[in-house]
Amino acid sequence: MSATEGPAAGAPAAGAPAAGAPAAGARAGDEWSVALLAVARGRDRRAFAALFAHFAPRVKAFMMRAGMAPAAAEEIAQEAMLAVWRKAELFDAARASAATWIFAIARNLRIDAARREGRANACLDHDGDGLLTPDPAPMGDALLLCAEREGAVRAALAALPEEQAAIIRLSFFEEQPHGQIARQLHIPLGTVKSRVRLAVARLRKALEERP
Amino acid sequence: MSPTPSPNPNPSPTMPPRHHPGEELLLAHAAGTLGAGPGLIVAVHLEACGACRALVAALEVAGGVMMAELPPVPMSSLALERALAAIERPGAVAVAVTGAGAVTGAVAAPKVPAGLELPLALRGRDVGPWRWLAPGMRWSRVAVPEAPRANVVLMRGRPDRLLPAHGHRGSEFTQVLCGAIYDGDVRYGPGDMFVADDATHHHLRVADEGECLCIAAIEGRMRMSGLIGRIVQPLVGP
Repeated sequence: MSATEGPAAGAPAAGAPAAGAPAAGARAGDEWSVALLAVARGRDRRAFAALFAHFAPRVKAFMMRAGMAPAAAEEIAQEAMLAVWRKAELFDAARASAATWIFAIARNLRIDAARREGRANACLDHDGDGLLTPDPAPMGDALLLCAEREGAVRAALAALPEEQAAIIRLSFFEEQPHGQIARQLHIPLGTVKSRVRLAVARLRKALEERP
Repeated sequence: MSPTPSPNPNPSPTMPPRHHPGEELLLAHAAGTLGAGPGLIVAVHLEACGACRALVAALEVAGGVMMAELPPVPMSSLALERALAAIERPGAVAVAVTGAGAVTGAVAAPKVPAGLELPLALRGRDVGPWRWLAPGMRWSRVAVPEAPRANVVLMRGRPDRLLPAHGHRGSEFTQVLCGAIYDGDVRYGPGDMFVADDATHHHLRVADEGECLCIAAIEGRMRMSGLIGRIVQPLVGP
């Protein structure tokens, strides 16, 4: 595996500055993280099948919601789950939940797919290498958040006013988020931007309050 | 280029960055909707900025929550069987880093100021030779093979030199790697990131404290003004 390929590889994991010290002692967090650890430690196929049953349809839904055709979305979901199997050792339950980690894998595959598509349209000659090039945003970033902080972020997210939560939700699904969101919701672009700022400020506050 | 990864591009991070990418940029980065060029600049900023890393990590949690809340779309009936077969195939899953377009390593790594490690996000990328931009200012191209239309450059300036006054048609995302640069009275030091858009017409000056190295992603064309600008324009256009 290349140094830049995996979720933790390439990220300044050991001795990373700031972002708070990771929680002492791995805490499994939730049943999906437990299953993922079973895959990592024992190559547990039943655990993998359970993860597949839960996450593959959600990754597929995410891709379709982002505008992908069902067949392509299914392929990406397959790819994502194979990546889960292959990279499971890099998962650290003390730092992120399985849901966050698998989201990061799916997101990166979506970026690769969008780039392959962009290149095909431009008739350029590098097709097929999207998965092979270093990821400019190592998924390791997802791992810098310890499980306790993740709980605080989830609580802050659940407490967001619906108008802000809606914008954050759409930001994850639309390719050109803010212009499209403004048109969809019939609100000015400035309003979209200020709601993003307000929502992110609340998440930031949640991080600061639970060091 | 050194094969030993260093987590910090700034050899003496005495101060955390003071200028950060905006919330929208961090959200787009976490969502994976940011273009390759700006995404690379944000990745370089994240290496230098623990606060932004923590925020992006929080936004990734949000992404996981949003994905989990979507109504699941059933996979085809044989999907799990296919996956289980695929994980049994030796080597079927691991993807070799070979073939056309794979990053080949620096052909002509530019000389960077002593003591500076290039950020991890730039390791293994082809970086072109230094080219003249203006008196005391040089630039070189950073290859972004995964998105060939991205326009990413390193810029190096000697102390107290001016970048030709310019405006933008599109946005420019800049991260300071070492040294410092002034835009009017605002100082951008190591680790700082700033964005210039259509409305910006700025006059950048390298601080007199030492050589400055920046990385920038340029979307659209810069509009140079003045004689030097007109000479330089064809060089830095995408």
